[in-house]
Amino acid sequence: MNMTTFKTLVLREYWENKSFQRAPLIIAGVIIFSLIIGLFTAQTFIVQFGETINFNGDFSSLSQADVSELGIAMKGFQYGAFLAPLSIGLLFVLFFYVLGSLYNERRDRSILFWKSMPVSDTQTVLSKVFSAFFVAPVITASVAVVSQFVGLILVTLMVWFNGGSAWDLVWANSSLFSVIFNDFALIIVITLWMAPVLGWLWLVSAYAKRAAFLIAVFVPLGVMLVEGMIFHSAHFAQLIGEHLAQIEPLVESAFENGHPFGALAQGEMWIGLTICALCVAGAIYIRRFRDDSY
Amino acid sequence: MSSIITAEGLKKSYGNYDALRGVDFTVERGRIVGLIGPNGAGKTTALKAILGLTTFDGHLDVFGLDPRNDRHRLMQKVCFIADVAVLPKWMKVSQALDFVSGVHPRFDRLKAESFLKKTKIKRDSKVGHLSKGMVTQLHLALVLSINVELLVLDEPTLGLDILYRKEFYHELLSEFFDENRSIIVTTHQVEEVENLLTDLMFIKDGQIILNSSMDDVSQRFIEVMVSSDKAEAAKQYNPIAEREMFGRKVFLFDGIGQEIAESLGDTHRPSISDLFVAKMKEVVA
Repeated sequence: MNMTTFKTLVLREYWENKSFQRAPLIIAGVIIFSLIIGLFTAQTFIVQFGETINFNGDFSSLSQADVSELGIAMKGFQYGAFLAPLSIGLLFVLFFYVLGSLYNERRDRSILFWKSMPVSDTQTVLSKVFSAFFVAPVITASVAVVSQFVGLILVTLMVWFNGGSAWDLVWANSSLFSVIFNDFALIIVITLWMAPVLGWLWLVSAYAKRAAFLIAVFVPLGVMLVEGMIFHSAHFAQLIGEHLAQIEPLVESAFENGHPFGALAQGEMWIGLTICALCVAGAIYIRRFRDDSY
Repeated sequence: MSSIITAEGLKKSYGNYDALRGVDFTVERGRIVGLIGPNGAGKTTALKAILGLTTFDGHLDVFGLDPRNDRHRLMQKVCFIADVAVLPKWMKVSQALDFVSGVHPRFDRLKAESFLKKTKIKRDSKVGHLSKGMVTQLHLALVLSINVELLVLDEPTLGLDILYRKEFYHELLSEFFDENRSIIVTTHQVEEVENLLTDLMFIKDGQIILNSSMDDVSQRFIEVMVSSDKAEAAKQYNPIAEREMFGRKVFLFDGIGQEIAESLGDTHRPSISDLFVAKMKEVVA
């Protein structure tokens, strides 16, 4: 595969999809704004999954136990306040990106321009797959790193104003490098975990003549409904629900082990990736041989 | 002369509808072929087959490749403009240049830049903000700067005003065409391409009903303006069309020879549109 061509194709995805950077920047902006309001009005220091530690401005009386708790709380702050909302934002961005990626070009007929270039359908579709699994997650993770840093600086300022030692309280407990590493690793692993969903969206995107969104959402719902009516069971819904529910333990394992790669040892991950690969192959086939686009 | 396209028994059906009913044709290097036919005649289907945008039955060879399997390789030698509206609206002009330079090894960016300098198109404008004429100029600047051997144009001037249309064909001839390159063009505006074509192909109901060079066409078809007293005599030569003009009859003959024609009245070359109308009616009758 020609690297210049592939680089250009990926760049083209980046040009078209401003939401890759816009969405995380907006989310990070909102988080930082509310953090500023929270820090300087309510004096609420750290929010750890809803549990608030209030210091009442007295930083000198912290016990050793408080400090170790602070370490956990800092992780909660960095992951919970920044990474979690950014990851959810990314999944929304990817949903609409993937669903539109082979559909919009047929609606506005720009596919005829793309197809007038010496680029194979395989290369084109793979550039979109690469953008979804790598480009968009890396942009989101970079925004996460920068915004976490801004968050730490804000907390530092707040501690200084209150006469505490920012180094001991904030930076020594921030596990900065581990957090930066996990921003990237976790976001990419979560995206890979969502691969079967993305694969389905690519298939719909390549197949749908109209109403891609409705097909993408209502076909799975229809399958659940039919299964429920005929077999009085809900295996399909359960399958999807359990797969999505695995994201939380996946994140927790990253806390415990310092990395999220335990997920790669799970069969479920590889089944998901295989389903995705089959769907992508189907999407390539459809894009190559259908001709209702003219 | 070498053939760049050879089609034998080219067929394409959409369900029960036969878009192409086993057509044979060749296109030679260095020609400008006009593919003319009414809506639904199979023009676009034929072009799609040539460009590898659809499946088909029969044999089709374009630059030694089968377009069905090798579209992306074929596009090194062939480029096409399908319609004025196909450049993506979100793209900036500079991005369009970057994109084509990135994916097309035969693209001459400097040439494209110099085309664009002659226009009012700004480098940082988005395609969606350009006028229709400007989008066509941009597309043309991109495509004419690619050193391809065959250019396929499907209704290239659709929706353009008359100023741009003239310019479009002028640039096409002066900047792109030479003896090593070929152009296939389909259009409803037959008058516009009349003086441009070297070959003429009429297609109707999935079949090719005329395929010859313009030289042969002007040899074969003669339009004669006959005074009404000679009309009966003229009809013996089986005119393929007749119409009335200023009280005289105008007959269109297929292959009767210059001498006989001149004995009947004033002769001249028929316009492609008159010839087209005559050929289309002929098949029906």
